[in-house]
Amino acid sequence: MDSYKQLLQQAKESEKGDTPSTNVIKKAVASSKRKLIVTTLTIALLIVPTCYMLTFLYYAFGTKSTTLMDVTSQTLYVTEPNTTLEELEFDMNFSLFSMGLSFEQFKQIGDEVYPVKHYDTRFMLNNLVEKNITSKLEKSYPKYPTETNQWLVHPDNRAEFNTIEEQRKLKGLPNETVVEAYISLNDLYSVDKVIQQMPNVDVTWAAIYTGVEDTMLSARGNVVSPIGYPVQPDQTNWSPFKNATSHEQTFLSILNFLADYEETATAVSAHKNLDLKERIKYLEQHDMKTYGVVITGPKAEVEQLQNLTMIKHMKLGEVKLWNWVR
Amino acid sequence: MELGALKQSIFNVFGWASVSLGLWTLIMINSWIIVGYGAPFTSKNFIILIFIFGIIATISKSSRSLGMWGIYLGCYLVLFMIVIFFVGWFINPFP
Repeated sequence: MDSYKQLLQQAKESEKGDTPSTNVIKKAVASSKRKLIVTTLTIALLIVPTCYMLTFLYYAFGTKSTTLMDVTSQTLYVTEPNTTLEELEFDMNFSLFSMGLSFEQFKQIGDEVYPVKHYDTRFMLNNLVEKNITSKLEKSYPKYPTETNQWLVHPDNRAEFNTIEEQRKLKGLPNETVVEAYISLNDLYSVDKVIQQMPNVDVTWAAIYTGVEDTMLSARGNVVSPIGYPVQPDQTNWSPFKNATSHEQTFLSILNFLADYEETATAVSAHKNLDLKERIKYLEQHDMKTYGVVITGPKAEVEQLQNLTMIKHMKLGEVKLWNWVR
Repeated sequence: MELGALKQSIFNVFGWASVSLGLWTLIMINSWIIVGYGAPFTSKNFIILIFIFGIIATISKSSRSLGMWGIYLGCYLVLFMIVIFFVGWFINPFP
């Protein structure tokens, strides 16, 4: 029995010796707690930078940021009369899953180009989710386009503005001013013919007939707005019309490019609908003719154009002090 | 015995220093992105220190996991900088 008791005693003592002290246990618990906290913190801190990298990769290999920029700029060239954009005025910034694009829009009034609008846009991946426009224009184009409130009017359509009133306004301006005017023609003409008829002013933009402008309704019954192209040679590096041998061909290729991104292009433009496929189909089958142009020049020269029989309506645009140095 | 414990605690300090520097850099990157200034290019010296401390910590068995942790954070930061620099240059053609 004694030896058995002795054995039990030894076993108890050895068990006691193997058990870690309370301090060691406390240290181990604290250490594992610390590691758990830091692991959680590490995982939490990795989420945002990883999403940021994914955003960069999306704009590099998914829908490219430069494609969105091209869609935006080329949409404005063909939907906003008398518009140019400057390459270095583009500002891009990226945040989580979104891209901001800010730029300045310019207009030629007289002999000089003026900044007229500032765009702040934000794309969530490839969807335009925000568009803020700060306009410096004194006369704003109708914000909500209808069939009849356009400034460039097809000969078969009705104009909401009164041309005689516009002519009176023009007459009342001092001779030392330059003006921008929206001229609607009495028929469809080739752009070259219109330019020939107006040698003393700059024809800056021509609205092209695409088969829907007589009612401003597409085949699907959507309200559309004028589209066209800049007429003057454009030497801006950024411009798709730079060194273009034919502005008509460039215009058509822009429309074909935009057709693939029509939803974005419509959101960027002030138009309700673009219905590009229908209009491209018409342009591919017919010659390009214009029903209205935007001109700019000295007030007296624009006033003299009223004698031209080809002019049906005239809407006065921006007015600036004399800068015509030719 | 005392010298062994001291050595072990020094390696642990290096391990924690490596992890802490990595986390601090991540906090800075997070705050820049969330505030909306875009991600900054983190200091090259910080990343070098994260690697040096991490490698020292891996020498001792007890602090090896901490050292590896720091090294992984350093690798992530290097990858992040490469993506931001090269892909960023690709997606934003303007200076």
